[in-house]
Amino acid sequence: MKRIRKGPWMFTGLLVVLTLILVIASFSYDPKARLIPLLVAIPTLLIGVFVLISETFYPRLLKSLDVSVLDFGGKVPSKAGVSEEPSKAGKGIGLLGISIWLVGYFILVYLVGFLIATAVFLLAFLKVAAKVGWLKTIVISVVVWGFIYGVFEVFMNFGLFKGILFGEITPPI
Amino acid sequence: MTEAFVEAFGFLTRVDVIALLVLGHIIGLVFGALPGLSGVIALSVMIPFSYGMEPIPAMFFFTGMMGSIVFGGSISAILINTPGTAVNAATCFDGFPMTRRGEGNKALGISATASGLGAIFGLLVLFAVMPIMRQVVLLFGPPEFFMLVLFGLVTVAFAARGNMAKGLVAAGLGVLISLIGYSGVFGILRFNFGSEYLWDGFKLVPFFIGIFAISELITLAIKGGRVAEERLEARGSVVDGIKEVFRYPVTFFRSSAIGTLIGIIPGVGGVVANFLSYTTAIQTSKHPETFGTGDPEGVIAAESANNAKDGGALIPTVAFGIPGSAEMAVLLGAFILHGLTPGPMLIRDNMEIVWALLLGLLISNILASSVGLLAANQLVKLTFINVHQIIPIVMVLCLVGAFAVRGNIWDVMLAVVAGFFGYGMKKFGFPVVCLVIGYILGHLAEVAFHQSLMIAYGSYTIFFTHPIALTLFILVFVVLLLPFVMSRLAKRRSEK
Repeated sequence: MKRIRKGPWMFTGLLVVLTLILVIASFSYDPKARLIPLLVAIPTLLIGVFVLISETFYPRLLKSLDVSVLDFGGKVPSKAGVSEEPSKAGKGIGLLGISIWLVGYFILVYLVGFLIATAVFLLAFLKVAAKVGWLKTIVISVVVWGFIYGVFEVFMNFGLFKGILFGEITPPI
Repeated sequence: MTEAFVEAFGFLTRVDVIALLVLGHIIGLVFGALPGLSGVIALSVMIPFSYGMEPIPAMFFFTGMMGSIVFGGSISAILINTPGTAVNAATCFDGFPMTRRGEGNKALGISATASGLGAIFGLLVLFAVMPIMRQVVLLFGPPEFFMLVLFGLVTVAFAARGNMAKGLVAAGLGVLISLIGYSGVFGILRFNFGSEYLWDGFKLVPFFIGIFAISELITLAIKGGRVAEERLEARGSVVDGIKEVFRYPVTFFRSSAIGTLIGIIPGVGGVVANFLSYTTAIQTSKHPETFGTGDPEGVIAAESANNAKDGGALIPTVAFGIPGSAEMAVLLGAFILHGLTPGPMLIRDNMEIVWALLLGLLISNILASSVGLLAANQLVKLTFINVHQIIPIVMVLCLVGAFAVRGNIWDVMLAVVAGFFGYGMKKFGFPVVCLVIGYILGHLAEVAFHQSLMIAYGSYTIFFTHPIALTLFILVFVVLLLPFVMSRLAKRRSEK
């Protein structure tokens, strides 16, 4: 039996479910207000289901729609090593790793505000994830923190989020 | 028109505006030279920083960035064989072999001259069509505009790199996302699911920061490493490179024309312009075998096209509010943030903004071809930095920027969620540009649709009795059928 690739299947499935929720929700609005949502959501749902099924069972069928004006019939020189993304020297931190850093930074901002969270995040990320020396870590952190503080607090007098632990009130969600 | 020009030009006599343009220019060069950090990321991250600026200085700031990003990207393409942005990919083919041959400076000279002149070509076309544009825009009523939006969405799904079915799903989702929140047309809330935050819908700036910048940072973090291990020293004469462009006027003009034309098509963007112009140069050359081995013509073709596309992409952006590329979609976001309404009204009511965009791009491109060229060897050093040192800095800018637009902490959460969503889309082949253009156009399409029905007393025939609307409707079907026609043709070709 053919092995189904979980990632694409799950992501496309998520999109289909989201669209389905919007289709169902549309029916609760008056006919005029739901017209465009339904005109868009139903074809989107159908194409989404087509992608989901063909990705799972008939990948060739989906591949036939891989058209692009970028198809140049192999006339472009095939040079090795042309990549727009970093790839050499050093390992990535993985999806879970970056998710923890990103969500962790957001939670920290929520709790203690931007100024403290940013300082902690920069120091921790540069030292732990980027494995940068102490001096460089401190210099980068101070410069970036100073930039944020200078632009938002001093220059724009904006008042960054102070964190719920310091009495900041969050707007309703 | 003259008054508007004078108003926009008048801003250039202010020191703070010049400083903003130069600052934008430097940011663009840095983001352009750093592979992985594209122009669209630079624009998304910097939008919140423009909050509080007057609209025209803000436009100079943005065009300062836009004008230098592509040349910045060509520096790393030529010196380390890694395009700084996707639109510089074809530049590597001949740029890097020239560097290997000890002609790095010559290649940079070619790139700077072709980039600058290509951009000027595109802007001249924009300048030339501006009077016609005003007339054409007047021909577009609500039914024509609705069909134009539909055509734009289908074209984006077809032209964006990847799968057309996935492109259509992404565009559809983008439209649906744009409908979230309070509808001014019907006076009701839609798709907010009890959330007070969603009353205003998905706010544009945090959504763009997430979908473009944070998603790219996630990708970079997962890949890790640094861009360049070693680079070859740029040698040779820059002046020789400048002269070289004038030795190939046909290549230059043809490539610039291709770039401008491709720019006009919504969502197609610089990558296609870059490659299409390059392959056309090969096909029409008397010595095609030299391409890929360091032929100056290859650099001219690639760089003049990807810079000329900006002038072309501005045409649908300012005339109809239909973004010609992802960068233009973000620029439209900046319009909205600064209280400007994208679409036909912009040309009628805010012509000074169009002039500011034109002037800003012109100056920034000239700066890129002169100052940028001098800084090329220093800029390329940025690519030696480990990406893990860049990620936290840009991440901080993203989250602070998402908050800064209106001081709502949940906007930061939206940016984070959109970041993961954008990452998923890229990873599984759903073109983000389709989602974004759908998001920009969705609400406009709905308004145009209902206005059309009101004009026609509820009759849908209005979309088929207006000649322009009908033509656009037919074109929508033609574009939808193109993948099948193209795959048939490809099959036949392979059979032969």
